[in-house]
Formats: sequence, C-alpha cells, structure tokens
Amino acid sequence: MTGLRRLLRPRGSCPAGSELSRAVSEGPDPRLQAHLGRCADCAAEYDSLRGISSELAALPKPPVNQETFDLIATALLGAPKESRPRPWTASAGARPHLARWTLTFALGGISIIGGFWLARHRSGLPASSPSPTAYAPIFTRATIRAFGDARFGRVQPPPDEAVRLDEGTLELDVPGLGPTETFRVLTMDGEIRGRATQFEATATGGRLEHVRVWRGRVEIHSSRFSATVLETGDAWSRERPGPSEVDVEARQAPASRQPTRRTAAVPARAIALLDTHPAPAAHLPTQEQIRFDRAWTLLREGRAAEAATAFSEAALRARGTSIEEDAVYWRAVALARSGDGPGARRELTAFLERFPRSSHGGEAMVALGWMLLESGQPTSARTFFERAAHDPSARVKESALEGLERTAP
Amino acid sequence: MTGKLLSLRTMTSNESVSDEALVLASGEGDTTALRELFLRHGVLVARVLRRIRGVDDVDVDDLVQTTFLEVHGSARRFDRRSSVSSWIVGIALNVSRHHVRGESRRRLLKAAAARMPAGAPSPSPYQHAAESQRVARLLAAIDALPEPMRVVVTLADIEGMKGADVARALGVSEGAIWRRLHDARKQLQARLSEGGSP
Repeated sequence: MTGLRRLLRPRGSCPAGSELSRAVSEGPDPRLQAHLGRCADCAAEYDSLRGISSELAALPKPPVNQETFDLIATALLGAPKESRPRPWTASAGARPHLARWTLTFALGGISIIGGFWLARHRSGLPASSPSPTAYAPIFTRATIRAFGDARFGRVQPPPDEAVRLDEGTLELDVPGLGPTETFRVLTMDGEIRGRATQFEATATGGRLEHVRVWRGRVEIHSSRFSATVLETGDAWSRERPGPSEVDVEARQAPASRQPTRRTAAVPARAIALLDTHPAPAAHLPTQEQIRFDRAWTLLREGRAAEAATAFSEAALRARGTSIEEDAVYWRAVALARSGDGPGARRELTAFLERFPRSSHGGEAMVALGWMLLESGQPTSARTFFERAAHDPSARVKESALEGLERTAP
Repeated sequence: MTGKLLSLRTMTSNESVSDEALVLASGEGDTTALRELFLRHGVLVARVLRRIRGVDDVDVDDLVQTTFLEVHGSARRFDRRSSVSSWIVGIALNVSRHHVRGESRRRLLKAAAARMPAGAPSPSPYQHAAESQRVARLLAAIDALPEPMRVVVTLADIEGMKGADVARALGVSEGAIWRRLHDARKQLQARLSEGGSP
C-alpha cells in the first residue's frame, strides 16, 4: 500500500522507486536521507526494499565443484597462446590515436632491440640462434622462452612442476631446486628432468625431437627410447641419440615414482606387459582430455589407486570417444599396479569385451592370461595366451608363447 | 626463425599482481595469468551462470571454461572502463546467451522439457541445499522473475556488484539497472507475501 500512496502523492514530492532501490544498494544521499526522515511512506518502502535486498544477499552460495575447477584451471593453461587478432581499423575518429600508437611502437622497438642485446649477452647463445619470444609464466620456477609458434602449457605447479610441450622449441632456464622439488618438460613420448640447468627442447606433434644443454645436466626419459643423460654442450636428437646414452632410469628414479605395490595377486609378467606409460592426449582443450591426463599423471607418480579412480571418471565422462577406450585400459593397468588383482582381471575382461579391436588388445589378453594362471586357472589363461600369440607386437607374442609353454597340457 | 622479445619479466608472486595486469599478461598469451584470473573470478562466474535461465547445472562448468577462453581471446580489447570482474561477468553473460540461443541447445531443452512433469522446477544441488522454507520460496521467486530482472538481482543483490559495474556488464545505463532492480525487488516481495509469512 505504501507504493500506491506514494504514487498518489503530488508528482515530484517523493523520489522514484528506482532511486530508492539505488539508495538501498549504495546508501542514500543527504537529500534522500532527509526525505526519508520526514516521509513515513518512503521510509517504509525503503525499509521494505532493504529487507528483501538483505535476504537476497544472505542466500546460501551455490557450492562449487573444486575438482572440476582444478581441471578447468589446468585446461586454461593449455589455451592457445596467441589471442585472436585485433581488427585494426583506422577510421577518421581513430586518427588521433595513431600518434599515440606510433610512439608506443617506437618505444617498444627500443625495448625489443635492448632486450635482444640483453638476452644475447646474458645467455651467451651463439649469434646464429633464433631470437626467442620471451615468456615467463607467473608461477613457474623456471624462465621459459618460446620460439616462434611453440605450443606449450604448464600442467603442474611446484614442487613437482611440469611443463607440457606439444609443438615447437622452448628454451628453459631452471634454477637450483629444493631437495623435494623437481622440474620436468613432458611430451607425448617422454620427459626431460633437470635442475640448475639451461637447455633447449624441441617437439613435433607432441614427440620429443631435439634437446640441447647449454648449462648443467638433464635426463631424458621415455618408454620409446633408452634414458639419456646430457651434460653441458651435449645434444640429443631422435634420429641421432647422444653418445652418453645410459640407463639412468633404474639408478636414479626416485622411489616415489616406482609403482606402489606389486603383490602376488598380480604376477610380475603381467605387470611388465602393462608397465609402459600411457601416451597423454595431444591437446589439452577438452575436459575429457584433461581428466585423462590427470589420471595419467597420477599413474606416473605411482599413485596407482588414485589413478584407477581418475581413469574410471575419465572413461565415464568420455563415453563414446577414443579417450574412453584408453581410459578403460589404463584403469585396468592402474588396478594391476595397485595390487588389486581381481579388480584388474575384471577390468581387463570388460575392456576386451567392449573394445575387441583395440590396439591394447594383445597386451590386455596376455596380461590377463598371466593373472588367471597365477590365480590357478590355467585353462582360462591358455585361452588368452592363444589369442595373444598372433599379436603383431613381438613383446606380446613372446610373452604369450611363454604362457602357452607354461600351460601346455 | 625470427621472433620478438616482448618482455623478460619474472613474476613469482600472485599477491601483488592486479587484475588489470593479469588481463594484460593474458592478452600477451600468458596462460598462467589467465589461470589466475580464473582462480579469482571463476566462482563468481559459475554462480552467475547458474542463475541464467536455460543453463543447466551440467553445462555450467563448460560455460565457465568457455568464458575464460573468451577472456583470453578478448584480453587485448579490455579498455579499463569497467572493473575486471564486471568485464568478465559481461563476457560470461554473452557466452550464456549464445549457449541458450543455440539450435542444438533448444532441441535439448525441448527434449528435457518433455521428460519433466509440467511446472516442475529444475532441481539443483543449490535448491536441495536450501535449508529454510523462506529461502526455498525466495529461490523459487527469483526463478520466476523475467530474465533481465533475474540477472540484475543476481549481480547486484546476491553477488553484491556495484550498479555501475552491473550496467557495464550488461551494456545498459545505470538508470535502467536501478529500475530493473526496483521492479525485481517489488516482484519478489509480492511473491513472498503471496505465500504468507514464514
């Protein structure tokens, strides 16, 4: 009724409703304050609006899924580095800005030339080295310079910091790290580890192509080629492995990176077949890929049980895509590595039923064969060894033939 | 191979970096700056998107991500005329409008509507979490508001944004914001009084 009474008053004597609402949100000005002091209707209206506004402000905030937010935060690191081109139009109205831009570019040019000089003299790069596009992400421990259209993103914060390189060349200057800190550059087929070092890494299509060490030492690890240590001045290329190739994996891998438990429920032969790293998805933009990569990271870190759960979620979210197939397979692997033999057998069986033509089929069959043999089911095991004996992979075939020999009637 | 040396800054602490500096860095391609913007404003964006009619809870995460990718793409066009938060909320509202208008989206909504009992409000964790009857009635009353009013109530009253920022986020005059907010508050009062006092 107060609103009606206010409407019926002579025009101009009371403030508009919108003015009262503004006063509720941002406080009444002195003139309105004085009016509220002498107009009971407006004061009642004001109090009423303030009441509903307070109720709205006190509403419970909708909960936020922290895990999903973490995934988005990670996904954003893989956003395209270049923003969309700005449409440049020099209309008559924009001309006064041209002088300002010209001055800006001139100053920028001076900075660029100065920057070149500083970079050249600071890093001691050879004169023929390409000029880098400097890029120092805010929370990375390292200084990262990307060349040309390099595509990369930080996928994990310190202390186990990881930068993913998909395409192009990065020059990285990694400071001395604490005893529990690591720094890694990840590609689809391997990783580079280093501390107190300066090196350059090139990847093509997500695969590591070339590494050159300017200072310090780095280790190159991969499931596709032997681990390699490079010292100052050394270089490594995919086609021409460096002379200092040694097996440092067994000697230097931290205990935390070893699979957590390997119980009798999962025979060593099965583990050996499953003990390769999954290839992470080549690009980061979709949440399905991010989930898969997160699970993959957990598995690499030896957190197999957590990885199994994460792969399960990734498979669920990626239903009907190629990621689902990989996620189901690696869930079985994670279960096997966590020592959950029955779970791994169940998952491998389900995987083979669901994806009979999978590229992981041979590995899954022969691993399942060894698990069944270990659990006292030689006949069933033999069935899987027979199916895997024709696999094109020499490793799978060899293991299957050994299984057939062990289960011969 | 040639390139440009844009900068050699080394920033290790996020506390001292302003929102504007993060937008600038994001415009230069710094995705860690984009991530920090998301960490600062992502929750606000998610809460606002949840209040947009036609945006299901399951879509909110994707829309939040899309919003910040748009932020990344538009960072160079940020003109500092508004606060970063209202600029980002404006982008989120555009993203949600585009999402709701999509043909495929309409088909999905139609199919979903066919499965739902007539008049049933779409359940959400937020609604389930509403503890009191009064809160539940208020939430229902907000849902019943016309979209422009609901957005203004969400931004100004629920999220506490200033009128000028809401106006910039929505691309309308500040006077229009206060009028919408007033009408919305009056409608909410009327709906709550229809149901009697708690």
